Amino acid sequence: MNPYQNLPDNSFWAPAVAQKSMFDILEIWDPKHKLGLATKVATYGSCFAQHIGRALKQRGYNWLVTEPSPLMMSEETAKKFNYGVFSARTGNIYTASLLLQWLTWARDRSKIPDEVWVSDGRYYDPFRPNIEPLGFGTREELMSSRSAALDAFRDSILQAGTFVFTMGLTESWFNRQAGFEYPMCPGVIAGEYNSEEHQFVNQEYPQIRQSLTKALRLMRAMNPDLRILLTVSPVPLTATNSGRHVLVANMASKSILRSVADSLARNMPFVDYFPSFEIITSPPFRGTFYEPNLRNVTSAGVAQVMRVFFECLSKKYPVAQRPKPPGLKQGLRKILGRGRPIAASAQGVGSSTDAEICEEEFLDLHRTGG
Amino acid sequence: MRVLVLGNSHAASLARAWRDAPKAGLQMEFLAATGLGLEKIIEVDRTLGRLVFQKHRLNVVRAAKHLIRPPGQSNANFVELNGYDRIVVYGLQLLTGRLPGILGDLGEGDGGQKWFNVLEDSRGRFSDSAWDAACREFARDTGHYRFAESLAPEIRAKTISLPCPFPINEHPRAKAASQCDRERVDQALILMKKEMDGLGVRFSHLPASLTDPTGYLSAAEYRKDLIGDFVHLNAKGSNEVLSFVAGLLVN
Repeated sequence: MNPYQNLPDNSFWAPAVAQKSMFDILEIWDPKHKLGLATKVATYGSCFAQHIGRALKQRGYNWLVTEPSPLMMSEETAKKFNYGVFSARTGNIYTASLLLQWLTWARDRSKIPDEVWVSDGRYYDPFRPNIEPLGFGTREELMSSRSAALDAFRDSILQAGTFVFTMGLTESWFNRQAGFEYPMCPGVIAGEYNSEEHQFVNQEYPQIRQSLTKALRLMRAMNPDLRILLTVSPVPLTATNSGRHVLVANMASKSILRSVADSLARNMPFVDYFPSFEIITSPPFRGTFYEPNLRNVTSAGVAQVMRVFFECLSKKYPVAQRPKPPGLKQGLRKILGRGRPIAASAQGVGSSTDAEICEEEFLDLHRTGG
Repeated sequence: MRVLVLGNSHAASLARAWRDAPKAGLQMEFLAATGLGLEKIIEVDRTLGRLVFQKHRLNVVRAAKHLIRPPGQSNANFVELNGYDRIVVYGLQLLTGRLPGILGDLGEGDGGQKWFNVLEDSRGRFSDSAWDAACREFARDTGHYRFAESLAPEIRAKTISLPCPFPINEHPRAKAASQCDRERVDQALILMKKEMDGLGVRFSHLPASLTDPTGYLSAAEYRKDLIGDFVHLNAKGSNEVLSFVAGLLVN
């Protein structure tokens, strides 16, 4: 007699993985918390987080968007301006420390540095460098927009029932003197890199765990009922500044992020982990869900991730209501047969607006080696 | 000069003004249906230069019951556009194309109130380039633009396009609309003009005296006898528009 004898099939690799079609590996998540159709869900983080918000909305769940686009803006254009990508217009939040920085600033604006990047007469936000396709017209406009994003970010935490955060990177860039973090290395999208001023930090497990723990506690202080759902982005690094081969650096980064997520989900009752990373990257899936560049996740991969998400969720917490029928807006459009889709409406998987917005990919443009 | 006015209920008030006091030197004819009706019941055949009635829709589109047709063409299947010297698109207002969707997005009930809330909330929230992009798309999605686009450039007659007061119920918020709102309306109109210019269509604003200071509603003086109606113009206002349009046509 030993402890393994009475374990269910899903505890054993052969019946749970090796002997199954990859599309039948479904029951891999036991959700800690109910996520009903009425639960407001905020989504932030790395590129992959964008799919979760869209999928939630598509299924009739309550994806929370606290910073909507101008109402008359089409969905396609809204995306170019980063509306409806995350719950607020933060851009990608790749690291736990960046999440903590957003939270700190949302609560206390006095700590926000006044650094602004100027290029060809346009103004770029160092903390959201790709948020406006052509930059801002003035410094004031930039500040006003950032302030609106911080308001919206704060509101999303206050209003949400569940906060989904997709962890993306360990590699990060800081201002050496002031200590604040940039989402991207200065000079990649805008700004100028200066080795005296800008410091590369490849964060390690203790630092990331501490930042994320602080961030989660701050959020819970703002909204004591808030539940957290962590995921790790399966999208590999575009580039590494660690000096190691990017394959090795990527595995190290993702392993650290995955470990932090695991630790927090095991030790904090309000934190859960959803294994989207495993669905895309694990051996049984044989890299099937990657585009030919072996980096971007295919729409089929996203669909499989979300299928698992919703199947596991509905199995444990059956959904009483059916997903919402098309709204008045869609109905009228159908009748009128006119007009473009309006921003932030539901999008099907594989639609033209499905592509991720990944600031990190700008790194590829700086590749000079052969 | 033979002129065809295409439009909606606003064009109907213009038709009334024409009937009561036609302008010398002009022969003005009207093709109009309420709301978005005209777009639903006709299609532009650019090759033949015709507006073709969609018979199957005439019976099902409610607006068709209030259709005004050019004289002598009550049973015609099409309107020959090249017989006109000018085409005027009037009253297919800025918000026509998307307003139902937008109000739907804002929820049931008092969409007008919410629309104003949204405009007020937008102060400082959107960058100028985001707002410009939104207005431009919005302009391209209006009946004005779609008609102008489908009529130009193959249709020989020159097209003139005029917006009208916006179809929003009056609300105290509207009366106290901020400078920001006013600027937004102006910005939208300027962008719309730019889009129309790109099509080679002349786009003219209604004289400011015909709308209230917010730019959304018809001026109080010109809606005195229209109880509960804040977007159409009374006989006096319609006559002003007619004179204005006549001035555009001869210049």
